[in-house]
Amino acid sequence: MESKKVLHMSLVGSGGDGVMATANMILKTAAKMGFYGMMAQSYGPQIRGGESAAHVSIGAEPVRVTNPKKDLVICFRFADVTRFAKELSVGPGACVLHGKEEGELPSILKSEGGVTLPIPFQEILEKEGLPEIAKNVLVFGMFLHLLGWELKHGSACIREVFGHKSSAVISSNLKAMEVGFSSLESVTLPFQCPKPQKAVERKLFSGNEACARGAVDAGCRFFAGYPITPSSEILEEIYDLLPKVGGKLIQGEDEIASLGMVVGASYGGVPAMTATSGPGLSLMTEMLGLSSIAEIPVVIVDCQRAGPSTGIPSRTEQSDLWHALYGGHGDFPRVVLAPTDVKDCFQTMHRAFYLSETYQIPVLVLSDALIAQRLEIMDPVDASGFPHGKRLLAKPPFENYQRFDLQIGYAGGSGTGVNPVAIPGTPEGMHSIAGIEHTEKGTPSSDGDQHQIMNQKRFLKLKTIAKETAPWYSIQGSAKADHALITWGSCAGVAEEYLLHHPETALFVPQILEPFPVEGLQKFLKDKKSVTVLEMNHQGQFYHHLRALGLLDEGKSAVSARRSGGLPFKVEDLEQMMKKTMDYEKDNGPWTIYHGL
Amino acid sequence: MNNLNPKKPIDYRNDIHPVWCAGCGDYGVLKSFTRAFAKLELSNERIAVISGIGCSSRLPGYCETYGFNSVHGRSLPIATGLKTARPDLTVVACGGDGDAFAIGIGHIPHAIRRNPDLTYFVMDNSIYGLTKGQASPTTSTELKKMRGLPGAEEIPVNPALFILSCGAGFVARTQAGDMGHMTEMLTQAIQYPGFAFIHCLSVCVTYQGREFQTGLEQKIHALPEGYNASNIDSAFQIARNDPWALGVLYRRPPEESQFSPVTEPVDE
Ligand code: SF4
Repeated sequence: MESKKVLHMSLVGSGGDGVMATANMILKTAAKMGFYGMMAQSYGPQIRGGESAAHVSIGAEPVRVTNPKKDLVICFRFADVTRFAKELSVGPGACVLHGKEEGELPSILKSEGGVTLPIPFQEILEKEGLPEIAKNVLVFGMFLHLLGWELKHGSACIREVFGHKSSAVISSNLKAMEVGFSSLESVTLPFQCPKPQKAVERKLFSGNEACARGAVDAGCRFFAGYPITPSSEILEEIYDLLPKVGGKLIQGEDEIASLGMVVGASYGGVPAMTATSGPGLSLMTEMLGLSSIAEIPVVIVDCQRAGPSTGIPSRTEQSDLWHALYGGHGDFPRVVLAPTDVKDCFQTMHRAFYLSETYQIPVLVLSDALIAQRLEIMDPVDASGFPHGKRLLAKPPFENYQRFDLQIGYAGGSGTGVNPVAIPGTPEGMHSIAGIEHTEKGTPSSDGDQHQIMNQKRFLKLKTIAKETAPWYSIQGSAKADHALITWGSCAGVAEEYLLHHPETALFVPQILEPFPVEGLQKFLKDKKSVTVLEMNHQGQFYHHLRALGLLDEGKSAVSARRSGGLPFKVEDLEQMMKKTMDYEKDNGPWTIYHGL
Repeated sequence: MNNLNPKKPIDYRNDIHPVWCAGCGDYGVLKSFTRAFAKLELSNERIAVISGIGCSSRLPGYCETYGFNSVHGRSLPIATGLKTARPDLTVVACGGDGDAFAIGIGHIPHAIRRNPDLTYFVMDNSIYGLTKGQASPTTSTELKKMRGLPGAEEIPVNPALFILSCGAGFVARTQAGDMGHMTEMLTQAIQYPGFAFIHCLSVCVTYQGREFQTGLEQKIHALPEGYNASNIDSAFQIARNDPWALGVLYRRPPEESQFSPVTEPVDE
């Protein structure tokens, strides 16, 4: 019997079926038992209720993707299932449970050599005197049995989830779970489920929760933001966290005001941030430039959605890259970071605050819908080794204090670009600053030479940062591999999964996109025959950025593998794209071209 | 008390020469700012003046205080953020009529709803001075017609009425030609715990002309004898019917502020 390393499951249903609640319980229990795992959701534009699907993957080793063919599917209602046809491919030998009342299984749920189990939900509930609402807990019990888990693990989860309810509710749910468990006692699956190596309890977070926690950990004490999908959970989570550490949240009237308040709070010396999605980032762009020229540290998390304009709020994409890198009028330096998964959000937020505070510069964190709302079981993150940013403070006594002193900040090009700052309240440090170009004192100035040298000073920060962040990338795969795969952000997961089956390819993932770890990529590409740049947007934004940096111009095949967002890439997509690269290379020799999918 | 060594208005001025045209009303405002700061004996480092963009928004650059000449229309969000982070500071937001009532108008009701202890000082010359004389949201219909300015058919914003209807606790009107009055209004506004608004009739000598100042001087007058500033209905009436009355139009008894700041970080 085949033994699964990772088990991929989907639950599909309508509002009230408890799809998300059940998936959450499975994941919670798995986390307690020592599994790794991940859960992604698919839902339509409905406000509440409507169809939804939860894709849950658990394994004894870290899980990277949730979209391979499913081993286990529970479908509460068939009426909704075709909506998810693209996200729900049932693997061979899969086990499919469905409501018996629904009738014949639709073809997209049929699997070769698998097991189909029609469950008479209504009948069971009525017989056992359980309320309709307990249906999902019944299903949870069934899962426990199918996965070979013990009842006690499920009971602990039920007690935790319903802990705040009356004891009657708890015992009714425990009963539902047990009934579910025993109703499938005669069933065995045609495959073996993964088992955790050790019963180490792990944590369960979404990317947005991880961003909020990482930020507060890193010293964030002020947040202003406007709710927008898929970033709102950052606002919600940090609203709970900030009061505990003396911090404060303001919900802005719009994104402009939100980043404005962040700029104001940070000007007052308090590490501050906001979170948004593409449409909000557009509005914030003016303030982004302001924070850069006025040299006020701010952190902005952009949970990218499919764009442009309002695009598809619930779908993922990586199409704000150019906006993050180049967006805004005039030249101004900013830092751009990109977490690759939920766990990485912790470190990325620490890095964001470290860089923004240390270098008095805006930092953008490019998350996306895929990471933002996905739940992941992970090992605890030890943040004790992460560098902690400290703003360079100017302290009295002052002798001719100049906020933007070129002797200090620029020093003929040998400075760091950073000047000590007297934050309001500092005795003797009075000065004014401006969004308008200014003198060393901060006074408005329209002098062209002054502008030139101030730009040089401000951009010096990126050079200084680049020295420190040069190793902020990851390389995976054999050094001898001929083919190079480069990607960023949430696409790293599927690329890593692809690598498991393709030893001829090595993978490069930058963790910082601006300033780019140029030398790292150059070294990596040195002996590679061909390069594929994978990303989720229509124009190949990252590919073109790498070309603009001169990193793909070595007379080497360089393919842009890309498509608009919506559905996350599958390993099969990548296989197809990589094959194209290699076939072309075989027939035609080295070339530099790009194509979309 | 520190009366042995009283602060002088000049202590709040730095040595930078303003870029304003000779005779601009903004000089009077700058003087009144420094006088109010001196009267209140504020320490320089505890004051932050936040402005937007425009002629009048250059003001923070001339104060020996902390100052931030930010971007067009956004002084209130920045001031709110600063006050949240640093409740120990006296924060004054300032700017012109375009800054406040065109691009920035959306921020006003929300700043008032949050009710931070801010003073918002708007210098209203009813014209865009910095961009050389276009109509602003407060330019009168007559002037627009007379000068052939675009948007003649648009009804001007009534600042005091708008701010009152947003629920501000302190609303005053003053004018740039009377520094004594302006200083008094500013002093009261800064002392008022909560959001305080001052509508300052100012003059752009370059694009409105001195005759405008003369006309203004003929129209302005003090609030009626015995006016009760704690009565919101009277305030609405004056704001609607008498745009030239100067003084404190409305002053609500200060209430317990709901606006909580960032406190000292404490370890969990
Ligand atoms: S243009 Fe008008 S408002 Fe501007 S400085 Fe000159 S007089 Fe003052």
